[in-house]
Formats: sequence, structure tokens, C-alpha cells
Amino acid sequence: MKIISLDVMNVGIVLAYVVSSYRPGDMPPIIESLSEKYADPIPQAVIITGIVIGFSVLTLLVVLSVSLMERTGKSDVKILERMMKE
Amino acid sequence: MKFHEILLMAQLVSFLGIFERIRKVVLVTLPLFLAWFGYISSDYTAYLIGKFGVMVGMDDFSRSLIVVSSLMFAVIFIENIREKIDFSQYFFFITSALILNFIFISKDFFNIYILLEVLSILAVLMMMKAADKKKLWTSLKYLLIGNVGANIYLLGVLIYYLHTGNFHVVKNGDVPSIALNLMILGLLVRTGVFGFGMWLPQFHSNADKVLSAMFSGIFINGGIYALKLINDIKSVSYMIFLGISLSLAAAILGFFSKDVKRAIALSTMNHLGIMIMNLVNPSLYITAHSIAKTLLFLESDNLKKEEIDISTWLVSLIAIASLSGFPMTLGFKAEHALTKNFPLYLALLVSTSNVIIGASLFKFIWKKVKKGFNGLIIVSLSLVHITSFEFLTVALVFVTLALSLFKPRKTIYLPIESMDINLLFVLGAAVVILWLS
Repeated sequence: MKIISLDVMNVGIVLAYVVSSYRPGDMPPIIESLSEKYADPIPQAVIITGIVIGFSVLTLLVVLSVSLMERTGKSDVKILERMMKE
Repeated sequence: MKFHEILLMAQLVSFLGIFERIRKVVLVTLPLFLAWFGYISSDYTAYLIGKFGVMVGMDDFSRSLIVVSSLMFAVIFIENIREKIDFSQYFFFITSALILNFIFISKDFFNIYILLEVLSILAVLMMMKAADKKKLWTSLKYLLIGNVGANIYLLGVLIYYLHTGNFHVVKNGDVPSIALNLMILGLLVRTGVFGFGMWLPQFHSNADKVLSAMFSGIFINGGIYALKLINDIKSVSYMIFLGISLSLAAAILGFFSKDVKRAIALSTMNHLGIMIMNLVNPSLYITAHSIAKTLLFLESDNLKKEEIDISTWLVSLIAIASLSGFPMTLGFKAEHALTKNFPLYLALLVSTSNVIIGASLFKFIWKKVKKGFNGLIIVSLSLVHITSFEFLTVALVFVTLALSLFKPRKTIYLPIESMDINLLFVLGAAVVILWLS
């Protein structure tokens, strides 16, 4: 559940970056003639790294939670927390 | 030759580690070379790919961080030169060393986000090597809470970009404070300051001694570096009060701990709190903390035993003395330099928090020493008294020792250490920041 929420949060940030690059007169940032207005390419360019990192963190989290499930048989965070204190 | 070019070369050289014979040689000499090159390189700023690309730069602060971190990497690897390491482990170690050095020269907020994330992924991969369920659970917690922090940081970076037009760290007062506040909140979570990143005590205390020395002594410097960059843009006034209250809380929690590694991890939180109080010139304090914490964590397995030998006793005595700011140690100098411009009550509070954490660490080397060595402490302290610095510092030393005789009955855990409440706290803080502005 928390992992899904984290992914939703990540996608939200990515969307915010993509939307922020919008400017009125939104041509794709490919220059055909120099006078045209075009969308800001920088946020789109950098956030692709953010997407990659978000995905790799997500996969790691899934791996960790699956192997935790195998070892303990529990998936509830509260129960796990109590188990780990001892 | 510029330092980022040297880092690239070092990355190429590090692939020599596929040969098992020279793996350890590379592991020890490469950080030493990096420290040397960092020390001799002069100030510069450069852009990696055009004007909008990554901005890197070298100044005094990054130089000191590069030197101390690389040296501590070398110390850790020299200490474990006898142990066998396979290629994957070697690759994680050397890559994290290079990435950390890249953080210290980057002057670009988005780049710092990427590097911090990669560093945390590497940390988790290193932890997963010996996977028992405790380690898995703490790495899950670390990754989840840390990533929430990183996302908040990313939101701040976006607002920063919308106002300035690039991600570079350039001094201008027009940056809206909401961007900086969000970035600071994200970094506090990422670095593991008390209250915001409560994954730290569990994560650092459950790791092996090499890893916890690396995390606690070296990796946290990356977060402090980023906080310093933000403070350079626009000085943040509430940081002093946040820092002192959080460091005091961490110290008191560390005092009620029966586990050595948990106490050391909480001392990291205490010192992080003190570092963020003065972000104008924290380099000496970071150096002192980094050295002492690395040595102490490397000895932490020996401290768990019933009886400890002389070398362990001596090393941990010096490290703890430095951490709690005793006279004649580097920590004393550093604390003095940090609190120079503070009003007296703040300096006293810093000393108090250091005294409490010092007491909580001292009690682990107190009783287990062979006979006669406890006397040595008394003798050396009398020497301190003769060369008398100030009445106050000497009094603080004796208060520390007296406090360390107190033994807590059981370890206290706060409710905020659980994942739910910590996440709730962090997101609540983010909402408050967004709401206020």
C-alpha cells in the first residue's frame, strides 16, 4: 500500500515537471524556424532521470518487501515493527 | 586537470578491480589519490554539457569535504584489508566513493538529487548482501522514508527552477522561500536529522561495522553539503533553533540506550543537529565528527564484548572524547569554531547536548576495561586540570564522567521511530510549508 502511494507521489512530481514546461504556443521543442514559440525542454529533459530513479527505487522496494514476506510471513507494517524491536 | 575529469578517470581505473589480485590495492589507493588531487586542485567552476548542463565547482568547503571523506574511505578499507571481498561488493564500495566526491563538487540542485538517490540505492544494495530480516526491514524503511523526502526535495527544486530558469546554485535573494523550505525539508529527511529522518538509528545500528562506519561517518556529509548550498543562496534563520532542539532530543534519547551501536547512531543525529545550526562554516566540525565517528563505528563490534583490549579502549576513548568536545581534542576546537558567534546560552546548550551524548557513549568503555586503565582517565583529566583551559570546560568533562556512571534499565523507543508516524510527520510538515506560503 505504501509502495503504491510512493509511486503515485513520484508520478505526481513527474507530471508537475512536465506541466511546468508548458508555455503558451506549445510547439514541441524542435526548432524548424527560430521565430516560433516552443515549450521549455529543460524540465522534460531532466525529469527523465527522475523517472528512472523512481522506477529503480520502486523495484528495489518490491524486492525487499517480497523477501521480507518470505522470511516472516507478515506484510503488516505494525506487526513487522513490533517484531523487529526485539 | 579539473577534479571532475579526475573522477571520470578514477571511474575508468576502478574497473581494474575485475582482477582479484589488485582489487584491494585499488580500493585503498584510489581514495588516497582522490584526497590528494582534491587537496591540490584550485578553485574553478565549469559546465559539463553546455550552459544548461550540470554545473560543477570547487571551493574551500568542497575541498575539505573531499579530503576528509576520501581519507576515511581509505581508513575503512585498510582496517578490513584481511577480509575477502567479491566484485559486486568492491564495485558498490568504489562507486559510492566516487559518487560522494561528485556530490561535493556539484553546484546543481538536480544533480545533487540524482547523486543522493543513487547513493541511497547503493547503500541498500550493500545492506542486502547479508540479508537477515532485520536488515531487510530497516533498508525498506530507509528507502521508503528517504524517497518521500527526495520527492519533497524535487518539488522544491521545481519551484526553484520556475523562478530562476536553471538549477544552478547562484546567489540571488529573489528565490521564494517556499522552494528553499521544501528543499530543506527533503534534505533533512534524506540526511536523517532527528524527528524528520527517524530511519537513521535503526539503519545505522543494524548494518555491519564497515557499512555503518561508512554511512554514519561519510555518507551524511553529502546531505550537509547540499544544506550548505541552500544556506549560501539565502541564509535560513530558523535553522539554529531547529538544530539545537533536535540535537538535544537525540542526545537524551541516546542516553537511554543499552545498545552500543544505537547509542553511536543517535550521537550521529545529535551531531547532525549541531552541524545544521551553523551552516556558514561547518567544515571543521564535519571533519572532527567524520574522523571520530568512523573510528568509533569500526571499533563498535569490539565494544560489545565483555572485556576489551588496550587498542580498542584507547581508540574509542579518543574518539568519544573528540565527539563530546573534551579539551585537547579536535572536537573541542571544532565546537569552539562552530559556536564562536553564538550567544552564550546557545553555546552552553550545544555543550550540554554534547555532554549528554558523551556520557551515553562513555558508559560502554567504563567498566569493561582491565584494571588500572580507569585510573589513566583520572590522571589525564588531572593533566587537563593543570593546563587548565577554563573552569567551565573542565567542569563539563567531570559532569560527563559522572553522568556516564548512570545506567538505564532498558532502551527507550519513541513512537516517532515507527514508519507510519514518521511519514505522517514528514508529510504534515510539507503540508504546513505549502499552506503557510
